[in-house]
Amino acid sequence: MSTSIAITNGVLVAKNHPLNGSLVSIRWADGIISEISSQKLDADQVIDAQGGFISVGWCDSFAVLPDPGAEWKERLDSFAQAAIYAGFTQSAVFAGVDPLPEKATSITALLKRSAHFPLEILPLGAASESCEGKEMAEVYDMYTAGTVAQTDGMRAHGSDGFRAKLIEYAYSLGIPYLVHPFNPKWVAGGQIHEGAVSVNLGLKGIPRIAETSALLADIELAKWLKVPLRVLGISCKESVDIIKRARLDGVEVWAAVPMMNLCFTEADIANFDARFKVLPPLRTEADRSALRQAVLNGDIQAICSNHTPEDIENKKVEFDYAHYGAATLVDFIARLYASFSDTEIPLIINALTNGNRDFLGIKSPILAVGEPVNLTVINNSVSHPHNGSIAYNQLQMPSNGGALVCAVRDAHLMINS
Amino acid sequence: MSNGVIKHLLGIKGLQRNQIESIFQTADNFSELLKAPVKKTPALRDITIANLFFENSTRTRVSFELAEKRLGADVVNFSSASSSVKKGETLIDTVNNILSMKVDMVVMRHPAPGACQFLAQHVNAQIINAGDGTHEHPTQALLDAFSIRNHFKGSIEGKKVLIVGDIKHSRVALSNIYCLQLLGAEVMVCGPATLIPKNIESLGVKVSHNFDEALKWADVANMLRIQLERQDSRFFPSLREYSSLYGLNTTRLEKCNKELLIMHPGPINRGVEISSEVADSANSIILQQVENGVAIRMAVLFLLAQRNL
Repeated sequence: MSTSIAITNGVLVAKNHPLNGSLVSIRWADGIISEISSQKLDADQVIDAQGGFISVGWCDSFAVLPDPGAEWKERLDSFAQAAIYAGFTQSAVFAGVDPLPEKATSITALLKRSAHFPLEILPLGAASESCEGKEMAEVYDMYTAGTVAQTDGMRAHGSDGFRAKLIEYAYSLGIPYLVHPFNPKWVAGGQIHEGAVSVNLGLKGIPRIAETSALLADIELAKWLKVPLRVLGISCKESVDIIKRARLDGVEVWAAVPMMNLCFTEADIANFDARFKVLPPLRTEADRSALRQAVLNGDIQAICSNHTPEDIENKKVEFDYAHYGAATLVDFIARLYASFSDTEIPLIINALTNGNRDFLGIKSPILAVGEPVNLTVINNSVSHPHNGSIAYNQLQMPSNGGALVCAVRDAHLMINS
Repeated sequence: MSNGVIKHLLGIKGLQRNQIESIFQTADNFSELLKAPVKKTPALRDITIANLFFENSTRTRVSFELAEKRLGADVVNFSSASSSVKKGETLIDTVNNILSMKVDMVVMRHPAPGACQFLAQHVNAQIINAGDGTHEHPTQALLDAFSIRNHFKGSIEGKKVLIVGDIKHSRVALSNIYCLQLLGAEVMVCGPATLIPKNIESLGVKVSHNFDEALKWADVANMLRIQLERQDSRFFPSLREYSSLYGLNTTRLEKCNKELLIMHPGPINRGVEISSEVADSANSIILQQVENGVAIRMAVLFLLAQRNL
């Protein structure tokens, strides 16, 4: 006999749903939605959302998992736990450092290892061999094995000629290619954003032009090749302006901003705090504000966790030697709640649901009777600080505690408590 | 810092003006001591100090060692051309190993900006920054300001100090800017645009690329060395061209037609940023800077050891 479950008393965030913005109850059994109502529903198990937000399950558009190869930093299972804790039911993951995800076998293995997880892993495959930005990886082979997109992540950025070939090749085969605009030639030894803080700390800077010059080149390539552009990890106001101008010129541009760049600035590094040493770098308050506004008005469609765990030995060193990256998932919701008002949160949820999936070119779950259940419920007024059950061996982001998060996919129901 | 008393000297940033003045007053006393036939005092007799130099140094290392010995401290020296991290050991482990031999204070020079701050957060000893990468060199700034103060009979307030040369790669420049501004001086930096950090105006300094104009503005010119060891590519076409644009020589000094105090933190590249005639001229206080360095470092060590800064 099947058990019915209902989530009640939550504000629905679903742009095109007739009950969008109102209190709803959703009931399901055997992983299939049986009723959606503005009335309180009974079920064998009832979860009170207490005025929090209900939406389709969140999807992360970019995270890094160092398993296989550096499992001591994070394992696939602990990653999945952390992603669920953050409210995600799907996560696009660049998984593996040794080997890198540059062969179909790596993708197949990842899908096999994660098949039973409540979190649906969406593999990202390398765009170039060894992620060096020189020669194309077997992107079609990986795509047919199950990748959702190809990317070299937040670091490598090949020459204009290489990117042109890759954009054209991937597009011709219907493979999304996520390009991170970053020209390393501008940043020899750069550690943090080039600005007041880098001057104060005597650290070499990463100027905005390292990003904007590459972004402009990518847009020109997209214009020339007549293909859409998916831009991963923008970090400055100028990039937002460039993207808006490109759209006016008729270029189809999708953009994703990392959570850290929405919630923190260069000022957070002012005490040589290596936890905030990330790529793309944290920039000024003006940049953060512009990125925030761009998410709220839809100029940036997607928010990625850019979760890039590092072990403590690579962080608890002199700042110059500290590795880039931050484990962002455990504190993901608390940080968003700290940076956006309650009235803005629905727009953020929209970015985390439809925006991230549009960015990746995948379909959103359908919220309707008869469809598989795939939901995320959050409520900031009910605090459930991280209880330490997620195994980490890395320097954590400072935590503000968390919100009630309930993630539901198929037969899986996960509640932080 | 707690209750206004500092445990470490990690940089000039964070110091108060009265703390700098306290260092100067103490240094005045040590300057007198250093002129006496017996140049030692047992003030730090029971203190052990480790000088950890992960980067080359001649004058700063010798100056600290002399300061420590003249205060009666026990001194141990450790030099390594490369950082401990590159040898596979963390900086914390290296220092903790030394501290386990009952060391009270650490004077450290390190190529990474923020290394002293990092160490202060993780080890149980008093840390004095002897230069961390391109971040700060607080005792150099203190001795520079002390030298200016002494030359101008006690006050820096309102003086116009020009810092010339490789500002981008200089820890001396940053500490000097903080220190001089705190003491009421105006600061201008001058050099080719490629050697001036972007956004340096945010520190409240003036910027010039015209050396002759800048000299007319200044009361003091502090000439910096080109830090070729920190440059991964050339920031100007040649030393010859650099010298013609930003080198201080008698012709340039005569053109500016004013009494100018000439300083240099050393080591000097004669004929590049400064000519021998100017370096050795009556207006130059380069050797007084070196002399004052010992008194300033004695003052810093003494006040920190007494928890009185």
